[in-house]
Amino acid sequence: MNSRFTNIVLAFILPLLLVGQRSDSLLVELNKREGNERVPVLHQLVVSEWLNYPNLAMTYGEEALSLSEQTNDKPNISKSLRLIAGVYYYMGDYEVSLDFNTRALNLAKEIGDSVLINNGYNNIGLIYYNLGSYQTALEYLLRAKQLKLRLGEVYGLPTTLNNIGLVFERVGQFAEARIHFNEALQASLKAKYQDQEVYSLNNIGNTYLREEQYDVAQSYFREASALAIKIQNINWGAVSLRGLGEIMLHHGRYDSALYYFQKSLDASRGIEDKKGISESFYLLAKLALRQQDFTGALGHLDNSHQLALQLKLRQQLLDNLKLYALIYQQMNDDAQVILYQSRYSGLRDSLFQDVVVRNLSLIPLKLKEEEDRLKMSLQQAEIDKKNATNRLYIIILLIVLPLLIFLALLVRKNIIANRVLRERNDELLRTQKLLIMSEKMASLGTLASGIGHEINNPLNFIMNGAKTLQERIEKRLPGQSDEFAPFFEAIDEGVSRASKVVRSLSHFSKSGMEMTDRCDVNEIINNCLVILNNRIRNRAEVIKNFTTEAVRVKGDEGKLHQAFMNILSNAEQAIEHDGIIRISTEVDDDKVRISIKDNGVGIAPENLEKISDPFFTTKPAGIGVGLGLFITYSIVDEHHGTIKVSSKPNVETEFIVSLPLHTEA
Amino acid sequence: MRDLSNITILYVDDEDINLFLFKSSFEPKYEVITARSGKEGLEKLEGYHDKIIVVISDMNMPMMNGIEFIEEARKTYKNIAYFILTGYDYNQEIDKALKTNVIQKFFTKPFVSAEIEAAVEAAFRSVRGA
Repeated sequence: MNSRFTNIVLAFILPLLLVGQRSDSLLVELNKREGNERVPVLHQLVVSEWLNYPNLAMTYGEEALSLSEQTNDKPNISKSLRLIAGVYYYMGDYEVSLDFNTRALNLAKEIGDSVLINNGYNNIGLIYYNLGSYQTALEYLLRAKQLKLRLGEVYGLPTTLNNIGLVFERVGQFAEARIHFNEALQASLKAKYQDQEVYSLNNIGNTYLREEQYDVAQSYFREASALAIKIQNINWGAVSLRGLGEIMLHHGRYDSALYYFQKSLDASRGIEDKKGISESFYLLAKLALRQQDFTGALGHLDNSHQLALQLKLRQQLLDNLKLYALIYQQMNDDAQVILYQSRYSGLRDSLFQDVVVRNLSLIPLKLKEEEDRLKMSLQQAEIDKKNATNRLYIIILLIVLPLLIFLALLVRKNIIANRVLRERNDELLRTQKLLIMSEKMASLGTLASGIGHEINNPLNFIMNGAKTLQERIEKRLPGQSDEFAPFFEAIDEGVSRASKVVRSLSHFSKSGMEMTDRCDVNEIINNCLVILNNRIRNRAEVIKNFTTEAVRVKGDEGKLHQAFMNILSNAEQAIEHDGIIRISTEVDDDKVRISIKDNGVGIAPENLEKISDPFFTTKPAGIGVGLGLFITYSIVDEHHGTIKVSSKPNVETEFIVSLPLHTEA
Repeated sequence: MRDLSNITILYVDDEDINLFLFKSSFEPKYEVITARSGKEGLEKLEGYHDKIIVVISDMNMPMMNGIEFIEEARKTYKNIAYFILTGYDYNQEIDKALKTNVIQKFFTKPFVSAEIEAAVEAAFRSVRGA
């Protein structure tokens, strides 16, 4: 009883609110402004008037558009176009509205304004919904929803969510529809957008109504109508009233139903909402039919149908034709029933055809969009791939680079190791040859010493035999010894010479003894000359200029013999005939200076620096190995001495050996 | 001071000619006992060590060389001068023997009798404390 009373009061009050005062302050503001500055105010005016006074809204919209176009203010042109599209929408002219919305959307895309693009998607979706292209509608609306969520545009979200719900409701998926309406309700509460709150409540109510859950539906419609009054939203208030009326109609409370429908009609009339008027007449017709008032029903229905035709309200037209058939059926006018039923199916078919045609015409557009999307995703994939490849390259580089560096280091190390190895190998080869050489010398020494022993004993026989013999002769034939003397002297001389040679040879075997020996340089040179005597004698004269005292150096006697032997032997070999070899020794401070000069072929200037190199030789292969002077240099170096060489080929070649003197400790 | 003719020398050499010539060279001045090997030399020392003042040995001999013989002899007969007379020249073994006083002197063949005489007489003087 109580709720019914409230409803009646509500229905009574609503029309009184018809003359809304909301736009007054905006008009005052508009009058204060001039030119372009009017545009934002004009836009607000369009929104505030389009539901109630579409014609007025249209004039505002057109002014805003023309002002924006004069200054080529693209964002405002787009917005004006969209608002005009909205006005057409509320006037039921969906095709024109679609055209304006599309223009607005394209411009929005051109300037890249996300908010405008998103509004475009929403509106176009809504129009397709009204045109019966639900699939397309849903696509646009979902796109709008996505964009809004992404942009965080809380204010526009409830509208889009409600529209999505409407699509589901229209195709009979009430539960799904309700989910979206409820989301819309939550979003409106969050955004404190009460118009959308009323709209959401009405929509939810409608879903319950369709599912014949009348009590639940009623509570939603009541809540909606109460809020509508509060915020003076006549349009949605009228919708609530029609919902309540339908519930009354179901319960068979015809008076109440009539009341609600009548008030709803008044409200819609008051705001020139032709869609609402048409719906109200339709419901009145339904009520009349229930009361078996066929004339009244047809009258109301005619009114509804006229407006529906005018606004091309497709769903309303279909509903109306169905109702006509039902009325005539109850009037038993079969001819009319058949007529309206065929009109119904004809319209349905043509609508279906429209939808198909529209969808077909959308195919290239959608294909292009799809293609663009695909291209973009391909490009993205390409970029991703490139990035991945780059990352891979970097990773590979990061892995490979250290490896390469490591390898390079390894190779470098290897090269160095190789070089060291080669050097060592060369060194080893040199040492080996030297070893062979010194082995030769050593065996020569051993041989010499062996032979020496075997020769010295017979020499002993001769010398001491002769000596004893000489003594005995003197004893037995006193005074006659003079006669024998020259023979004994010859024997003495022979033995002495042979003994000298043997002794000289044996000096070469003395290598390996401690370096503490005191070696007499003069004696060493003499020993060498004894051995070379045979070769020198016929070709050269040896002129010696030695110190009177023995010159002693600390060293290895055998090695020093080798060293001087090599120099003297070279001097000898440089001379072909009539040569002179000058050898002098002199003490110079703490050194002994030994100079060996010859007037042989000499050493070419380019070879002077090489003579100390191992294996350097100017002799034919097989004759000289080129170790002689190298050994000499090594030995002198071991004895802390130096060698200086100068040569004027065929004039004079001089070797100067300096050795530290042995100082008595 | 004792008479030089009382000097007795032991000469060891494996060659008979050397023994003969040595004996011939020094017999007029000294008494010369000879031995043909180190082993025989030790036997002679056992018999005549009271008389022998100087031992002169060849270096290169079979079984026992000069230094080995002298090292052995020295163990028992310390108051004798030991010399080496060798066909070889100076070598490391002789060098070591000289440094460790196993031998007092060494001479090379062919020998010069005057050198040996000087060394023998010097040894005689020092050994007999003349």
